[in-house]
Amino acid sequence: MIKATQKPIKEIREMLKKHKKVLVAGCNTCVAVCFAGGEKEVEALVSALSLADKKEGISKDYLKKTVQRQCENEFVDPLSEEVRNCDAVLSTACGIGVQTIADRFPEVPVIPALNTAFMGRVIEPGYFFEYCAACGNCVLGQTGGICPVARCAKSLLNGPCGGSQDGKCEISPDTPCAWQLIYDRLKRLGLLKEMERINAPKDWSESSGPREIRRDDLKTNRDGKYNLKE
Amino acid sequence: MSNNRIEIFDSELNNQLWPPCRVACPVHADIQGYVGLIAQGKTKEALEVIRGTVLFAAVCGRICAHPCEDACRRANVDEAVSICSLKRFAADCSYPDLELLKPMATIDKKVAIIGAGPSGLTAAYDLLRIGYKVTAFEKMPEPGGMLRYGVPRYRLPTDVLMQDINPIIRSGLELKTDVEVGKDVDFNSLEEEGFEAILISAGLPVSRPLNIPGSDLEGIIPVIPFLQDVNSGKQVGISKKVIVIGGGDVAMDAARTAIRLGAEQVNMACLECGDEIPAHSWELEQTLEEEATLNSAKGPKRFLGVDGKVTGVEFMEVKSVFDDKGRFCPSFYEDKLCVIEGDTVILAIGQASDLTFLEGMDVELIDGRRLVWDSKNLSTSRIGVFASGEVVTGPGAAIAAIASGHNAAVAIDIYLREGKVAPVRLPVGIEVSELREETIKKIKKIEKEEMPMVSPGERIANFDEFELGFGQDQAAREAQRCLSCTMGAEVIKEKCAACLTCVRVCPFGVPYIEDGEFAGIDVSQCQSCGICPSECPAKAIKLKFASEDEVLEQAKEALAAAARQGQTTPILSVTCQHGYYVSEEIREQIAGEKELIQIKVLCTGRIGIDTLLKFFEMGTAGVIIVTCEEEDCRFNKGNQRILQRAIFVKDLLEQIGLPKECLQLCNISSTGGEDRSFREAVDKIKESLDLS
Repeated sequence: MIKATQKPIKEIREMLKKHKKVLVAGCNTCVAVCFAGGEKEVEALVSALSLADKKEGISKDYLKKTVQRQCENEFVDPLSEEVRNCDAVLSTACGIGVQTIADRFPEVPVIPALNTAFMGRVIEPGYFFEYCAACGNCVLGQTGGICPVARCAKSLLNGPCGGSQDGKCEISPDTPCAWQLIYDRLKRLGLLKEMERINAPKDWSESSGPREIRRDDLKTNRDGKYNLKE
Repeated sequence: MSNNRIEIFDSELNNQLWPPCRVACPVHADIQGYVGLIAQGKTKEALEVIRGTVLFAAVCGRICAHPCEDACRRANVDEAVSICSLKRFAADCSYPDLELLKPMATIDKKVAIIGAGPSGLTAAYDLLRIGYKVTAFEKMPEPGGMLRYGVPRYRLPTDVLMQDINPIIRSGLELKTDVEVGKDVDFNSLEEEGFEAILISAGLPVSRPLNIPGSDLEGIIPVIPFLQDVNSGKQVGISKKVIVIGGGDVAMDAARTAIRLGAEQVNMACLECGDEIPAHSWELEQTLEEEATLNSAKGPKRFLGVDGKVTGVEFMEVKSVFDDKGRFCPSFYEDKLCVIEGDTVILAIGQASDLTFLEGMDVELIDGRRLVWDSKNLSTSRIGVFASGEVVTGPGAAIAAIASGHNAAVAIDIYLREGKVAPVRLPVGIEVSELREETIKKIKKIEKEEMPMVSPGERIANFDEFELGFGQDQAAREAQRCLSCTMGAEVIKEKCAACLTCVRVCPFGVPYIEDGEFAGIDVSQCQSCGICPSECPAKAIKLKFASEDEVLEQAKEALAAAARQGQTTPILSVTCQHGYYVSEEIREQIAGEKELIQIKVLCTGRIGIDTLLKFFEMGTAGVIIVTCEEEDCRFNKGNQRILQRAIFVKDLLEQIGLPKECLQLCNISSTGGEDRSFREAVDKIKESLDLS
């Protein structure tokens, strides 16, 4: 899932400076799972902002509403009533959610409360780690199910660099070397021969955007065209 | 609720999930509800809950057979919660201003009640609440039935009994004491006097005789007149050697009363032995403590006497009490005989009704002493005449008579409204399933609070109540042992992000993944610790008891009160209730700080980061969280969670520009004695806010 962290309160407040009535819109999916933008975090953020305002003698109104997934039109559209009553939306969703709000409510400024960080998983409560870089050309089949693109600091595709020490990456003693993990795993699977394969330079064209996927079979409009706004 | 029926007959209750204690209670009292309130120090509210089903709170707090405790799930962990004693604690706090429930309507119809015991008085109160005019006829000089004239004063003082009965009289009951129906008032004349329904709740006022040779000897006395005389304050002389025949609770009462009257030797003899003895184990235990002697498996063969006075009883050894179908059918070894000497023999072998007043009254009787009665609609054979309590159900616990009284009130109400007899039954919820072994293992064992008692040697000197009742601290601690069965966390599926946080943080391993999709929480296993609702990032978990919303509400009220007193920089102290009632010091310290506002929570682990921030948002200048020591947490991990959350919140406070010192944590044990960390916490907050 998508992982994100909340921006510093100061930065959020700076962006909200001009706005008096703000809808703080939460998202109860990925960003809830990483404790950055679900309903609970919206509650805490609004309390924090209100306290900071009060301290400076500023008066602002905050409305709170959390939707199931801010990246879906159908979930976001019911916010229209609240949006109409506000002069800005502070979104605690990932970048996709923020842009969905911007797309659906073009007349109101939308401000991100989070920094969208990566796609990853919870290793243990409170510890989130990146597992996929969405490079568009998956190599996990050759690397024992461990991604060198996301988990090697240099995204190397043909084995570790000289910075691999005692199984750890030179960037941090806590970070495992992805290639050490790949080696150990392939060894366990009896597939060490895979290590001998030389990969050609990766085609990165699939990993830069804007990327899109089109599926004609899923289209719902009758004229056969995609119903894009832009 | 429909049809203006009293709340406890709301048919919706049938659909609710109930803790075993509530199911087991004959009146289905909301035990978890009032125990939970006592655990939070809300005694007055607890008493209100108790009175919702049992007006005899002080009485049942003392003499109830408490089937609820037999059903308590904590017994699987250590020992059952002392529910009965907790009820007594709430009742003994006696709130004279506690309002009685008002009548729901005014109905111009009169109901007569024959017998002002627990069943009749309960029915009377319910009928008064519905709006009827009720008159109770009591042949004795005082109301209460066996509670007044049977139960000895050392178990139930008269003023305690009247504390429960007076509200019924105040509610408008016309109580006619010293009026015996059949003697002072003719049964048939009641209708003529305008009573449209009659309830016979006359109890079992007659002792059963023992028809064996010698039964006409002087010195053989039936138990009921004996206890009645003592309870009426009559001078009752007792001989030195007393024999009590019978093995039930009433026999124990007789033996203990005899001891208090000065008998030097009290021998009890009963047919049963071991677990078969019908008296409650604690009654028997206390009787033996008072040095009565129990002769079990003894069947009386004949009374022995000299000059027309009893001198002893000859007993046969009992072979068996029950036949192979479990029916009462004692058999004896005719040749194994023994004699117990005694110059007074009290017969406590059972009670019977006295229904002579119904002879020739068109109310059908069996053998002249049992009413023809339908247990479903509580009606006798005569339309408009109902019966409840022991007169029809046979001997049992007072609480069963009370339940029967509730049913009678509703049966009468239906009859008076609709002119028909209809089946009535107190609604009963669905019993929660048992605790699983793996859950039991994780629940902290907490020693049961012992009832303070006068020693056997001292208590036999008089008829004073010898069980002294819990104090506030003891009661709270005992109530906090309650597992809050069925009141735990519930997932709101529509909001669940399936983040599995609950699955990961629960100290009891209760949440699971339901249908591979959502978090599920098995309410039968949940311990209501409040950790998962306060961690859930989607706010998708509701707690039915002591929720964060309730904590916030408490804080809001406390802060509003402080504001009214002109406090501009209040400091909120949030204390774990489990520790609060252990530490005297913390209470003294909090009381000594004028800026300190106090709220208490059942474990600080139920306070999430958003709630911590809201305390500040509500206007508190500082917050001190007082937790139990790490290993003392009632829920294993609650205090650890709040420590971690505090670190996060302190960082946010700093980002906002507030000093992080205005949130302080300390634990209960470091609040007293030499270690002044609670004091230091207050100082640190004041210093950080330039208040010192």
